[in-house]
Amino acid sequence: MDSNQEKVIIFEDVWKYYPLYHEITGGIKMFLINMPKAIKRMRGNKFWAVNGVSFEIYKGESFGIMGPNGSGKSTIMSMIAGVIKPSRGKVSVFGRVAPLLELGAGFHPELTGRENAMLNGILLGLTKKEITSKIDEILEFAGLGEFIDQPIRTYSSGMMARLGFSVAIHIDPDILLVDEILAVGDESFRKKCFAKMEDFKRQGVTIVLISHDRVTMESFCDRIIEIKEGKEVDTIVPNKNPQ
Amino acid sequence: MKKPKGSRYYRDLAVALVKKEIKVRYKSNILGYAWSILNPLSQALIYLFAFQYVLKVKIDNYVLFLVLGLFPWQWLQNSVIASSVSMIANANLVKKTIFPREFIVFSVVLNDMFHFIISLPVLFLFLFIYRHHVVMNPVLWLLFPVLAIIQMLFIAGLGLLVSSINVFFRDLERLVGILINFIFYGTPVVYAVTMIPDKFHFIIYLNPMALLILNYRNIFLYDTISWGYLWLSLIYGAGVFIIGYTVFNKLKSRFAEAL
Ligand SMILES: Nc1ncnc2c1ncn2[C@@H]1O[C@H](COP(=O)(O)OP(=O)(O)OP(=O)(O)O)[C@@H](O)[C@H]1O
Ligand SMILES: [Mg+2]
Repeated sequence: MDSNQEKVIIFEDVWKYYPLYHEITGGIKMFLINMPKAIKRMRGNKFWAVNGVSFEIYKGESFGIMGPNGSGKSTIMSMIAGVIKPSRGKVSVFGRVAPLLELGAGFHPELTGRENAMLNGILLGLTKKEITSKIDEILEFAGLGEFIDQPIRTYSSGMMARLGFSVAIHIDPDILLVDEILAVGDESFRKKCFAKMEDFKRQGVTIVLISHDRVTMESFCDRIIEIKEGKEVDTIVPNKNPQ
Repeated sequence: MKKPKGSRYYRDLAVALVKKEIKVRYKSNILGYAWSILNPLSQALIYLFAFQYVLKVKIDNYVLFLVLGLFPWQWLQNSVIASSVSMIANANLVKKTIFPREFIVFSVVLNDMFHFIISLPVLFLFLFIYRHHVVMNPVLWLLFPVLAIIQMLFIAGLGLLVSSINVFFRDLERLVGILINFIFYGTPVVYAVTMIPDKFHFIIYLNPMALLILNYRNIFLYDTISWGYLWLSLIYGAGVFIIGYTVFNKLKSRFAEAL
């Protein structure tokens, strides 16, 4: 990558641990009974999910993250999205982020697809007016037919992913984060999504993609890092259309 | 990170979350209104029977007296209990998006405040039935929104506090349920403040809800206001709000990973 290009995501020696929350989420009673032990265990028993990761992602780049289950990919993605904070190091992100984090896109199970799409758009930073002007397009792209007025809890995971993806691409993101959610979409929807992402690429939208499917990753991404146990172990630059 | 900072955006966010709250809690807007009024009214009926007819408590205009305690109480109780589970109930939204989380609590409190305000016609109906007029003194009228805003601050503060702590200590919600019950009987909702023995009289000064309810009654039932109670409740309201917000802000960056 050309280093003169604008950097939109910067990880500088980022570390992240999860305290063992079950010690306290077990409740006040458990915590008080076991207090001295519980505090000691919480101090000592941190789980380090990301151990000193540094990278820079440029504007318009398609960046892939691969690695085995539990290696810290989603943790990295959540830090880019800003929903969790690094324990050490620095994460800088510039631009509007459309996060599509694993399992559901931030929907409320009791609301209908349409209501969720509206709410999600607002939660992602659009005003009521902006989301209202886009809602038809969003629902059209999701292609859920009459299910759109059913509560989300009745949706299959693929249907939820369709709606989530559809909202995310319609908020005019500068950065699109896609954490495996396309894996549950069917063939035709995946094709539609990748076509849309190719569009985005041409428009200079930065895309960060997590997937276990190496073929897809290598054909789509400009650069892929491989993570193992929270550390970057490899960088792959798929060589395609050499000029 | 580029975030829309305009006040229009925050208004839209609050409205959208309140709407969601109404849909999720009541499943429908119209029934929501009915429930929010039927609930305190049915309670009023129970207390009327138990205290006036069985225990022979002597309080003038007891129905009006009860309603003036129960409507504000209902707001506190519903909001604090709903707040305590609000982060868990909205875990999906909190884990996936970065909108300001305090708006979840605000939407809970505003929703119940809205229901409190739309229950006013019922209050006026009772005023008309029992006092044959609906408050004469316009200055006192103006104080009603002041009291409601103080109550909103107080409840939002409590809501921020319990919602954030409950993410980490999941059984807090049970404790909240029990405490609310205690405080209910520690607040002059069903009895008059004059019935509290002198040596316990100080408890009303420790309880902003008591001060507020006494003043609601002062306005609508006794055509007066206690400025002392009003200032003290304002100090409590603001203090609790600041404490609640501070704790919430300390904890909120860890919500997504602990939920
Ligand atoms: N909220 C949490 N609290 C405690 N530990 C967590 C939490 N989230 C993730 N972890 C732990 O952190 C490690 C990394 O998790 P992460 O979800 O980032 O993995 P991943 O690479 O996305 O895996 P997968 O391919 O299965 O999606 C795992 O060992 C997981 O158990
Ligand atoms: Mg993952």
